Amino acid sequence: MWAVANLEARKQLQDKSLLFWNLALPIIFIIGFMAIFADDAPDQTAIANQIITGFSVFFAVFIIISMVISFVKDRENGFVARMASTPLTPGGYFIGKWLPFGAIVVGQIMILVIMGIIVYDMSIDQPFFYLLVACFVAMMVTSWGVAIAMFSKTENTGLALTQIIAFAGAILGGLWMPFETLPETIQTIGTFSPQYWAHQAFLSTLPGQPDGEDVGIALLILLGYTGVGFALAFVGYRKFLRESRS
Amino acid sequence: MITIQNVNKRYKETRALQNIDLSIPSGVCYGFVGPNGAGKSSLIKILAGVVKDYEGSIHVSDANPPSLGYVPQEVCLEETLSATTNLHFYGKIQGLKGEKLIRQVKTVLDDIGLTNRANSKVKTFSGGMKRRLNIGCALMHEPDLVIMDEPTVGVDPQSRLHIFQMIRSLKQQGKTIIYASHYMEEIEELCDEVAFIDGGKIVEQGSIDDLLTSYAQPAVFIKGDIPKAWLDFENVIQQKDGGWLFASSNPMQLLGKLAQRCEEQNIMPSQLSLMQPRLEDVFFTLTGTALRDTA
Ligand SMILES: Nc1ncnc2c1ncn2[C@@H]1O[C@H](COP(=O)(O)OP(=O)(O)O)[C@@H](O)[C@H]1O
Ligand SMILES: [Mg+2]
Repeated sequence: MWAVANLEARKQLQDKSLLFWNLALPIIFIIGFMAIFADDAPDQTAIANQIITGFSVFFAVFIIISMVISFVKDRENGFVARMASTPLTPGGYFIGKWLPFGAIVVGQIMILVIMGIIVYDMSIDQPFFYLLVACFVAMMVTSWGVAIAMFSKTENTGLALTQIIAFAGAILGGLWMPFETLPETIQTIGTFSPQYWAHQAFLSTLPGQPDGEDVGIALLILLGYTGVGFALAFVGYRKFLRESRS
Repeated sequence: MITIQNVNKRYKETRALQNIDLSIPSGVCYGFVGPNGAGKSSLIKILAGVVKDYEGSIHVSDANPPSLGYVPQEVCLEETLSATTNLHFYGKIQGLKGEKLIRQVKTVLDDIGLTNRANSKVKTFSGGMKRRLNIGCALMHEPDLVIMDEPTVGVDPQSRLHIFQMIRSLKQQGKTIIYASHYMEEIEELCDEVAFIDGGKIVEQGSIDDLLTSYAQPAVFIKGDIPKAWLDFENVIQQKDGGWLFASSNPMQLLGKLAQRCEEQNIMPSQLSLMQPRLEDVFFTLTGTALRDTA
């Protein structure tokens, strides 16, 4: 399991497309949005809170693309089949693959918030809770990453689904603009999106965000979505193994 | 000894393997040979534990189940990482650690002749180098049983020679080797025993020497401006490369007779030679008659 995790981490960390989608792009967006909306605003920090947490959630979803690519490649190039001839168990394979992606998302979220703290004077009341929320968000998106990978015939399926999930969640969940400013129907639908809860969980760890929902409920809901993700992954993994090995 | 009993494998409509019975003794190099689509890879994957949904049984009758190294037909490596990282990974999943692991990576790099490219990314390698690394990954844990599926497809002559040397050295260490290939001459050169596979069935099996004596006759080959009448005096097996092939149980005598005639009639053939039977001839005899007719 650790051997797989190690290999996957090395592979992903030098993958330029992952660095682009998960690090360069969010940084560019944050700088751009801050320049447009916060330049002459009275409370720059409040806007930074909204934008940094919003984009952290929005771009966390993009890890699903890298996950689908990685799993589909393993299936197509015979890696999964080859593993079946070694002492590595399917469980060891899946957990080993999954861990580095989770860690990358946590790292991505922490880099963005540190940038917020340094560049935009963000302050966090409870850094530990922020990290905890990051871990929950990472678990949730990566559980869906595994699930989508299990059912993706090609990389393109993953690409398309990820974009739908990312943009739908962003619009409905209020990642791009304060949730209260959205039309009421969208707000109602938005409370079903995991991104809404992820965002609320982050906001509730920041000072001066009275509208943040209770962090406990948010984390429970994220855990629920994680459960659904892993359940779907579990339904699909046999098919994935069978297709890999024939 | 590996005993394969009545193994069947189907993919939807395709019957990839039909009633396969085979015994593979320990310590031999055993070849599976047959054309593309014959079912070699299907059988190899079953033996390697990759394909698990098949009918029939496979028994390994050694005291300890042998450790297994499987070289798949497709090159399966992490292209964006180095040769060392790839080998390291395969060592680790086989349970190697620390000093032993590092030493073994060095040893295998040396065996596959990639020491000087150890830290280059695999995607910069030639086809032959990738093939060698593909084999090296399966040898990290020094397995007792090495199963190779077409390990020389698409490699340059040097790499092929290198791979052959590796296999010979594995044989000397007393390993059991299962080697699938559609190159008859490779099997003939490397293996002790062989199973001919065609259309998902074993056509014949046994030691290569035995098969050669029972299915293929030595022959004499003559090429040149020879009179048509000569073709009657012994049975011509086939016309080949612009010459004629005469089968004979006593090829030396035939060779002498032909040489004498040439001399008498003042004919200078461009080639007159003894042809030792080849595995290819065995396969031709077997599948050319028995199998193709029933198919
Ligand atoms: N995954 C698969 N799905 C469907 N048919 C397959 C699959 N793998 C192999 N086959 C079929 O099974 C037969 C044997 O294939 P294979 O074992 O790969 O032969 P070989 O290795 O001798 O070329 C072929 O007819 C091939 O098309
Ligand atoms: Mg094959």
